[in-house]
Amino acid sequence: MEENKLIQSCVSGDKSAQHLLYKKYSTLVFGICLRYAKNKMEAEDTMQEVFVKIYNHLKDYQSAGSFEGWVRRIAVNAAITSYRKSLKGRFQDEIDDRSEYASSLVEHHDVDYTMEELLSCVQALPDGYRTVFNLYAVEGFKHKEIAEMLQIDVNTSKSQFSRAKGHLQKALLEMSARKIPVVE
Amino acid sequence: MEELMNKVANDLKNFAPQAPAGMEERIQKAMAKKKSFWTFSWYTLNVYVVGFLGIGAIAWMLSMRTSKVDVAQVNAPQGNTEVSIQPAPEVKNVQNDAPSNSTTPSAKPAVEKGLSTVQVIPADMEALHEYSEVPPQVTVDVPPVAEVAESTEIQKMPEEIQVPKPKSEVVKAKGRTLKLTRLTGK
Repeated sequence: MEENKLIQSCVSGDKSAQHLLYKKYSTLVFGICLRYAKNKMEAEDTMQEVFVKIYNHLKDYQSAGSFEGWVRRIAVNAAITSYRKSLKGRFQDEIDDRSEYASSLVEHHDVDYTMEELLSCVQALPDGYRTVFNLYAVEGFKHKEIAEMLQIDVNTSKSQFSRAKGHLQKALLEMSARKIPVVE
Repeated sequence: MEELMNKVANDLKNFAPQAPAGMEERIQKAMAKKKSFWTFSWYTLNVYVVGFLGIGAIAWMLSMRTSKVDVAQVNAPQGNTEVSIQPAPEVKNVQNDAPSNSTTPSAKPAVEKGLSTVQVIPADMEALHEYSEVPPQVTVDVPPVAEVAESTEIQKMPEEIQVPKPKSEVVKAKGRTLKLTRLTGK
């Protein structure tokens, strides 16, 4: 079915069209949710919110941009909203003094990892680091845009990205080091 | 390091895992839940019915209450004019001998039956009982009886109390229990 027709059918409440739409975009949405979430359960909750939003706001979609981009944007916004909610009533305890260790790491080009391992490393990052890293490195936003989205300072965004990179690299290196068999 | 980060970013961007089973049903359920309150269903109908019944009951209770107050207000002037003629010294007896009448809960039902403060006046309790059996002469007036204890002021200057214009005072005394007892409490 053509995408526009599929969207129209979904707007009119056609269940089979909604099923097709879900099948087509569920993997993309779940991938985004997993990247931003702390664990799988949180990702599932965000995914549910994303699809409810998609179905409810399909009539507002204007076919100027790509539909995939629109879906992606909704997923990212939902993840940001979830992050903001998690910040409420919680102490900011993510800042540490390891900002410089990333640059002192030795260059390793042959770091090997599976997607599950990479995901677990990303999910192990503190919430703020993970969100900024995803927005900057994966989504391609600028620090100024990220600062506006998360209502933080531009420099905070920059430093959090730098720290996130350091954490991630260290975790990946440690992981690949554990894999290398010890030769006597 | 930059190469590694680029690789990581690319891998994450293209990461599209299979959604967990049962997720679609969960989403459909969430959609149905969001809709359900505003679309017709027996559940929402029940909510509306219970709501309307509750509001109706409250409105009925309020209307009953206001009508009672209206009756009391209409009858108030008659009681005042009659009682104002009574001599003041008898008030002393009421205070000394039957102070509990004003405070005990039994005093209220008596009033509801149509007895005025005049019945509380007698010196001893027997007299009070006899008096209370007499059919009501004065119409119901709740506020005066409720404040019999306030008659201490009357006791201090019983003879000197002058009620020159009872009608005008009655108008002022609406809702003010102190003035009403001064008039009706003998």
